[in-house]
Amino acid sequence: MIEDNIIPYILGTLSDSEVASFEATLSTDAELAKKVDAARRTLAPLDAWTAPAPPTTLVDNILIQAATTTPLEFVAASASMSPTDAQSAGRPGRFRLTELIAAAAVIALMVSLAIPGVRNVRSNQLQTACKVNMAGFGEGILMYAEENDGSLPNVGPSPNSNWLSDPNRRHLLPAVRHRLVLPKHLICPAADGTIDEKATMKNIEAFLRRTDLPFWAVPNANGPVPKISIRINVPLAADANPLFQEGRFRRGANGTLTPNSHTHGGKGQNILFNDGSTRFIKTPILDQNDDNIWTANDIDEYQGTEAQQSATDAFLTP
Amino acid sequence: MNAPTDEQLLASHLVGDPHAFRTLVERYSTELFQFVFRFTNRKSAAEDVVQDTFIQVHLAGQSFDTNRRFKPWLFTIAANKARDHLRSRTRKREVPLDAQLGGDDDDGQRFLDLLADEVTSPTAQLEDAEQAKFVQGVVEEMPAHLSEILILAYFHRFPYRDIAEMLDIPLGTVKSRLHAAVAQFGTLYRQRAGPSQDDPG
Repeated sequence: MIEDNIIPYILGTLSDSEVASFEATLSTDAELAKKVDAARRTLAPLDAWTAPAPPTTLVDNILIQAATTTPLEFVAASASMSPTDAQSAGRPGRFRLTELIAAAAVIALMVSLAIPGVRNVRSNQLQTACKVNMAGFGEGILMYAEENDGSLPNVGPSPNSNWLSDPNRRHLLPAVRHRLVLPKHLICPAADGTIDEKATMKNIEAFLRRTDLPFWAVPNANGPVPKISIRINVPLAADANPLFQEGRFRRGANGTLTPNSHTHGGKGQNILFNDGSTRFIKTPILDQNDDNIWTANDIDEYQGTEAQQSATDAFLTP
Repeated sequence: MNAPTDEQLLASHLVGDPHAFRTLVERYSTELFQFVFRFTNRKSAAEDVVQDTFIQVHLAGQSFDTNRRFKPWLFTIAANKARDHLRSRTRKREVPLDAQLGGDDDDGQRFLDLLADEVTSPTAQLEDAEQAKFVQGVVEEMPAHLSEILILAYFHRFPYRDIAEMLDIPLGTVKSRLHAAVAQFGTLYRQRAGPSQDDPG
């Protein structure tokens, strides 16, 4: 539609051929010319909004920080350096036994130092990648709420639904269909790697019912999920709940539960809160209520119909 | 000799050319800083986000899809980090979106309908700094997904297809969302300006 090109025409982002075509219409269409003029006047005030120049130290600061931050592949490359890389220039290809032993010792030391470092860097990268995806998920459902009178996707147990067999995640369908939440936002690279977005979009319902999705969306509530503004620090989603990750649906004999999600090696979990913030937290216990986000208070065995036990009892399910 | 493209510079950086990364940083740090500043409205945040963005490019350059172009990728990273920053701050004040205007559907209130009204500058007598602050205040009232697309399109002149790639949304959604953003900007601008300023007579 020609009107779709009004803004790009004003902004100069049409191709030459599109400009020629648009201007040909413009020269004969007084109504279009009026609309272009009106759009120009609407946008004109934005010109006043100037942005400051960056600090003069910005480039240097970035370069210094980059110089002290080693990309993973460089660490890996240095860890696998071969003896021939280290040999002296004067005697190519020839070693004394003592040199060989010394080189081997140095390499062994480097590898022993580098491998845990590589593992940590990798683990931190994956943790951050999951957090970024979850943040995208948060942004999506907050946008959904903005467009739905502040209400998040409505979830909660009902007599006819069981969140073990019929995951709460299915309520995200409208948000995903409208591209407010993308399938990749529900994927944690630490657990699942990547997905084919286009293929997934063709069968979103099946995707949302997958049992291996790492994010277990939204707390069960007695009724609709609260609006975004009623209380802060309400967890909306997290990495996989270890209670179900372990394939068992009851706490241990003494009521115990593996504390953290297995997704990040038991170190903690990313949690999305209702203000849109995402934090990696090393314990499932939130706030002064001693509330464990993985369980409904005082319930040890789960059938799929349990709900949070009070307004402050967070409980994250599939 | 033509200057190397962004993609060539990134490739050189990945094979260890120390000057390539510097060139990329020098090429884009100012534009990126101004983008993030408008998005977050804080110099310190803009500085942090730009630094983090380039460090991510430095660390994760290998993951760059060589079929894509560098600049939209760079802005995608920066936009994600800027959003993270906004989230970590006090939640931005929300303006209830008119369901139709804010929606991506074609049946929403149309941008062109809103342009029927005159948009008269309320601040002809204001100093430049005040005018800038006024406009900034108007944009700040907009929901983040609308202000973001307005900033990308207006100040950085990204075409629809780049914005679609950056925000990972269909082209049609880019069009409707940008139109909604322009329309809402016009509406809020008029509202803030007040009736006396709005009256061209």
